[in-house]
Amino acid sequence: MPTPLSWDEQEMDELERRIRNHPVPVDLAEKTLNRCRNEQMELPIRTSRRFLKTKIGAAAAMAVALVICSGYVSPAMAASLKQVPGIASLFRFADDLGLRTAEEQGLLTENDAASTHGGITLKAPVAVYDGTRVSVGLERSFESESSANVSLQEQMTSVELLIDGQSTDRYGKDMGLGFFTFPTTDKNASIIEMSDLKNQGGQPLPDRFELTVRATLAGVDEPFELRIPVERKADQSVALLPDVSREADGLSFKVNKVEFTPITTQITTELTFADDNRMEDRDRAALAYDVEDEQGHSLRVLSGTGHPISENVMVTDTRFEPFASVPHTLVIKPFRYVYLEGGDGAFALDQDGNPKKIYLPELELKIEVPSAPDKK
Amino acid sequence: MSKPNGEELQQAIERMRGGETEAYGEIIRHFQKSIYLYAMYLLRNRQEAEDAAQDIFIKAFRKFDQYRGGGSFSSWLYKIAYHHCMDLLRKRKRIDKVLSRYILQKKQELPAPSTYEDEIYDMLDKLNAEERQILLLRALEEYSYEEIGDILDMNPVSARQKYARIRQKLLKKKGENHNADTVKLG
Repeated sequence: MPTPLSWDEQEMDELERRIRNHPVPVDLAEKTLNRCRNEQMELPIRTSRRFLKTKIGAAAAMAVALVICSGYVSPAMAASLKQVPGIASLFRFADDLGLRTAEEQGLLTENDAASTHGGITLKAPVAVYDGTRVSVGLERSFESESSANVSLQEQMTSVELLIDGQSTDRYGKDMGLGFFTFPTTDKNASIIEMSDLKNQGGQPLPDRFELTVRATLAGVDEPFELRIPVERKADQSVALLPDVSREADGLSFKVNKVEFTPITTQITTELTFADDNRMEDRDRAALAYDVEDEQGHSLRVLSGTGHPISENVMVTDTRFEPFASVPHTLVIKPFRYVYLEGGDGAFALDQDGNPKKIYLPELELKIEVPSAPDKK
Repeated sequence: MSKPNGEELQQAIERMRGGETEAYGEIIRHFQKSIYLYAMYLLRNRQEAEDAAQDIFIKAFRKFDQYRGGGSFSSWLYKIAYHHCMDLLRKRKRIDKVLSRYILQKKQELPAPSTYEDEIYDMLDKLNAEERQILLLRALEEYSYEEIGDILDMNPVSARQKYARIRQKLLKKKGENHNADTVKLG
């Protein structure tokens, strides 16, 4: 027989029961799940649920998603590219001018990493690292003629990355490094991309390391493991530390760093909220920006990673496609996306179906690029 | 839809690990009431509690791959809830300084708190912030002292001692109320 509860135990039990059984109707599941679905759509296809951008990330992440939706290398172009002698790398078929340039300029590291399970072989034939992003090409092939209907991108249910056999946590700030996966025009190929958080309080990646990709594919129990040597190619990279800023409406917008590589233009910005009480408005205050050269050529955004470095300061690295050559002037044009009322963070669209933007000329920055900026 | 049981919850967590976002709906349904109540008792405002509960689930969704499965998912989720509510209370303190109580009063207008709630708040008022946390975690999820220690970053022995003190405090208060009622009746 169980020991009867003492008076004080009974009293506490009753109080705790009252706390637990408060008759209040709660139904948060569907609306919360909707927000999760929306957030997931804002990023390029994620095999990790880690959000690369926190807080102010939504706007830039949306821009990334737009790039993904805006079109691939056409099948005709892909077919013609395949016929060019000596070009076999899947980076040729990426919707990313930087990766196509990497191949043309021979900046790739080729390797024979491969893993086979359940009649499927996964290879990582190419990788490139320019100091701003590590991109690895993955290829899927089948032992038999029958091939999956789903793309490699869709079949990958989880991906884990290790650096020199260790978790990426030690390079991240408090949540490790995340990654993006991008499709290509070939459904049997995919690109995994990772960047460090050195501009946001994390540690820089080493110039050489072994990247382990552990991927699980739907329908195959065993994970695929690929070990890929990565080496930084930074000979043609230049960096500026412009330290220019503008302030308006309780926000200070500053450009800390600009890095030009043959593959990427990475811009590090710092957003400071002057007033503590604006904290809750941060998502609404999310800024994205266009980057133009002196002739008005605008760069396409590729991806972004952002982190708060203190309570009121957010630092974000945004990666764009490369300039054909280092420009004389950079113009940074911040804007805010317009959100639908009650749309749980959904963007309002203009008549062409593009997200509406409100430019903030009071925060616009112009950066003169010296004729011979410092080599990295 | 009803709250999933423990086994269904575990399956939902595994499905989430496998990349199935929809499984998260079942996880939310399992914890929504207790997380909402936890936020409500701490923030003392139903609308803020609802917003907070949603934000807690969104944060957990974002960080899901950091849950490695070594400990209980529930205490991992409550750790997020604890930090989130503490942040909100800290922010509110700052707002209070500047805007006085006007905003909070406006937010409290609907719906009116019930007597049921008032009685619980009355008890919680006798406790300090840390004691309130311990009591709520014991009451809402029946956590062990080890789990409470893990969530609040506290030694489990200390959590046990503090819980004993909470009991003394509350029962003393209850005894005083009882005596007062008896005197009135007499």
